[in-house]
Amino acid sequence: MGNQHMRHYRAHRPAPQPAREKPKASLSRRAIRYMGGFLLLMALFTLLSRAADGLTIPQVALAYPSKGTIDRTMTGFGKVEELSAQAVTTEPGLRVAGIGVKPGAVVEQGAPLFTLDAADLEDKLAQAREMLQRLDMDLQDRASRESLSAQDQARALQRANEDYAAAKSSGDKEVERAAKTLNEAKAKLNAAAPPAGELSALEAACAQTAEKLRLAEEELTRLQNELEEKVAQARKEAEEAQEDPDQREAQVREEYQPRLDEAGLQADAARQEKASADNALAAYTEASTQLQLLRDSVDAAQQNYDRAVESRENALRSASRQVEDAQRPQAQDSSGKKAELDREHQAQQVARLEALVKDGGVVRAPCSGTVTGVSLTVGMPTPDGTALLLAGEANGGVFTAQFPVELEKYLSPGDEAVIKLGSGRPPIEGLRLETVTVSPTDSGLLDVTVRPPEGVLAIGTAAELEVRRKSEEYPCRVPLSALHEDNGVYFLLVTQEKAGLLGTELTASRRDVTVLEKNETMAAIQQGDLDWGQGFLAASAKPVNTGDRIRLEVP
Amino acid sequence: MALLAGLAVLVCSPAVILVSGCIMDGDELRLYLSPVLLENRTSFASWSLLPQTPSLRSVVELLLDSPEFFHMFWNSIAITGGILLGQLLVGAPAAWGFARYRFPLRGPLFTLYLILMLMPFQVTMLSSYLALDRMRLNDTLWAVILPGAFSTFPVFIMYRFFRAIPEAIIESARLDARNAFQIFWHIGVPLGSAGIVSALVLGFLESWNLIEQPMAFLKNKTLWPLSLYLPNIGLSDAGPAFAGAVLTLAPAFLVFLSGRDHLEQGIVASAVKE
Repeated sequence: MGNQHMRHYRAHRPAPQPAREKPKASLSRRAIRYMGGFLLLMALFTLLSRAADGLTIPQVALAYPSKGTIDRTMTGFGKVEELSAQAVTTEPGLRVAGIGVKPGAVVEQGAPLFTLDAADLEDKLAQAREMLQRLDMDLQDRASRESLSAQDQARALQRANEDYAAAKSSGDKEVERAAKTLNEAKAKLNAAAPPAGELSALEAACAQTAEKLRLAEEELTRLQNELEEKVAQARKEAEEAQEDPDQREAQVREEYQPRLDEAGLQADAARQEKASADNALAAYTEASTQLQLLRDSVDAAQQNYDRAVESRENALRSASRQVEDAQRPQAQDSSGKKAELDREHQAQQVARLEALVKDGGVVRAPCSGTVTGVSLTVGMPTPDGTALLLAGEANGGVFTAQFPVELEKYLSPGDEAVIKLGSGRPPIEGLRLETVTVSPTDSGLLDVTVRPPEGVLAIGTAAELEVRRKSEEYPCRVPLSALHEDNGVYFLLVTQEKAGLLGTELTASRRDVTVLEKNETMAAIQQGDLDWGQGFLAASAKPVNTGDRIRLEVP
Repeated sequence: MALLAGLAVLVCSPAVILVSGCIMDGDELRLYLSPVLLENRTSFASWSLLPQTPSLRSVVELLLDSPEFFHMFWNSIAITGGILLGQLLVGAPAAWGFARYRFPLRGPLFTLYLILMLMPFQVTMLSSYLALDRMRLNDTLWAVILPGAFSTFPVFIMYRFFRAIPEAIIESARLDARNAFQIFWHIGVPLGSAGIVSALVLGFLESWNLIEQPMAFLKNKTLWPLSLYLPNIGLSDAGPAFAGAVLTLAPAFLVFLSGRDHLEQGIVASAVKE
C-alpha cells in the first residue's frame, strides 16, 4: 500500500525547479562593502594602536621634595688597641749599667726600669757643665761687644753732625763774602757804564762828518778839474784868438777863485768836524777800555761767588752723607738669641743629668703599665729616642677603626658612634669619635678612634664601628632614585605638558639641579631648582628618558 | 593604444611608488631618498619598483604604534561626513529650487553661485576667518565643515540632474495633491539620485584632501585631519609616511569605485555650463 502511494507520488510530483543563481554584486556595491570593512578595520586598529601606545607609555609616580636631614651611616672595621703607649726616653749617649725589666713586665709608677753607669754619668755631667760655662762666657762677650758697638755708632753720629754744622757755617761765610765782592764790582760797573746808544751816536757822527768831508773834497776836486779844463780851453781859445793865454788863464782863474776858496773852506770845515768826531770817538773808546776792565772784575767776582756756592754745597753734601752713614741701622743679628737658646738647652741638659746623678742613675717608670718594648743593651750607650715603651692599662684602651679616606668630610670628632660586636652581643652605644686622622700606613684609609667604657672590651677585640652623622636640615630633599646624572650634571625629570595630535600629553622634561649633599637614599638639592609645588618623576616601571611621553599613576 | 598605455603607466606610477614604498625597508628608503631629503643635496632621488628587502615594518609601525594617525583619520571622517551631510541637507534643496522654480533674482543668484564656485580658497579665506571668528567657531571642526557644507559646487552638479527631470512628472505629482517637499522627496531625490551621488563622490574627494582650510582655521592639533599627518617628512619617518599615504588613498579609491558610474555622469553634467 505504501509503495503504491510512493509510486503515485513519484509519478505526479511536480518537476523540481532549477536553482536560482544569486545575482553577482556590482563593483560599486562591492566597493561600498569594502569601504565598510575598511572602516571596521580602521576602528579595530585604532583600538589596537591605542592599547599598544598605552602599554608602551611608562606610567610614573610623581613625588615632591621633602624637608629633612641627610643622615649618613658609615661603618668601618677595627679593633681595640692599648690606650697609651708611652715612650720612656733619657739622655742619649749614656752607658747603660743594668736593665731591670723585660718586655711584658708590668710596672708601677716610679719603679726602676734601667740604671745608667755612674762614672759615665758624672763625666757627661761635667762636660755639660763646662759647655754651659763656655756658653755663658760667650754670651757675656757678645753683650760687651754689642755695647761697645753701640757707643761707637753714637759717637760717629755725633761727629758727623758736628762736621756738618761746621761745613755749613764755613760755606755760608765764603758765599757771603763772594756775594759782597760781586755786588761791589757790579755797582762800579753800573756807575761807569756810559748811556746806552752813545757809541752808536759817535760812530754815526764820524760817518757823517767823513761823508761830508768826502763830498767837500770831491767838490773841490771837481772845481779844480773844471778850472783846469776851463783854463785849458781858455788858453786854447786865446791862442786861437791870438790873445794872451796867460791873461785868459788868469781871468778864468780869477773867476773860479771864489768858488775854489769856498769849496776849500767847506772842505776845511768838514775836515775839522771829522777830526772832532774822531776825537770824541777815540775818547769814548778809551773810556770803554776802562769799562771792560770793570766788567772783567765783575766776571771774576761772579766766578768766585759760584765757586764759593759750589764749594759750600759739596761740603754740605759730604757732611750730610756722613751723618746718614752714622744713622744707618745695624743689620739684624740673631746669633745672640741663638746663643741664649743654646745656653738654655744646655742648662736643661745639665739639669737632667744632675737629676739622674742625684737619683743614682736610675730611670723610673713615669706611669703604671706594661713594658712593650726595650731598645737598650747593657754596656751600650742609650739611644737618641725611645729607650723603652710602656703601654697603658691591660683592659680598656681605644677602639680604632678604618674608613675610606673619601669619607673624611663626613667624619669629625664628636660624631655619634656605635660599636657592634656581633655574636649576639649587645652593641655599645653612646660613643663619640675622638680622632679622625689619615692612616700612617695607608693614605687611602682613615684611622677613626673612639674610647669604649673601661672594662668592657679587651685589648685586641675586633668589632664594627658604625658612625651616624646627621647633617643640617635641608628644605629640599629628593630620593636618590629620582636623581639622574649626565656628564657630571645632576638632573631630575619633571612633567611638561605638550599639545600633541592626541591632545595634551605629558612628557618628561629635564631640570638640572645642584646637589648639596647626598647619602645612599636621599639627596639634598638647592632650593629654587624646582618650582614651588612642582613634582618630579620618582618611580617608573619602565626607564624614562627626557622627551618621553608619560602617564601619571592615579593615587 | 601604446601611447594611451604609456600615459596610463605614467599616471599610475605615483600610486605604484606609494605601494612599493610602504613595503620597503627603512635602510633601502634612506638609500633612495637621502639625496632629496638631506640638507646638502648632491644628486637626484632614485627608486626601485620591487624592493630588495621587503618589510612590513612601516605598516606595522603605522597600524600599531601611531595612534595619532588614527585620531587624524577619524577627524577626516568626521569632517568629510559633516561636509557631505551638510551638502545633502543644504545643497540638494538649493539645487532643486534653482532647477524647478522661478523666483525673482534667480538668475543673478545662480550667477553668484557660479562666481563663488570659481573663486579659490585664498580669496575668501580672510572673510571666512573673520566670519567664523565672530561666530566663535574658529579652532573647531565646524570651521571646516560649515564652509564645505555650504559649498556651491554640489548645487551646480545636482542642478543639472534636477533640470533633466521631465516637467510632466512634476505636474502629475502636483495633480496628486503632493506638496512641494513631497514632490522633492518622492520624485526629485529618486530621479536625481545620480546627480546627488556624483556630487557626494566629488565632495568626498575634495573634502578628504582638504589642507588649506584645516591649516588656516584649526590651530589645535587634535582637530587636524589626515591630510596634515606628516607635513614634514624626514628620512626617519619615510616608511610610515608611505604606509600612511596608502591608507589615506584607500577610502578615496573605494568611494571612487562605488560612485564611478554616477561620477562620470556628474563630470559630463559639470562640463556643460549654462
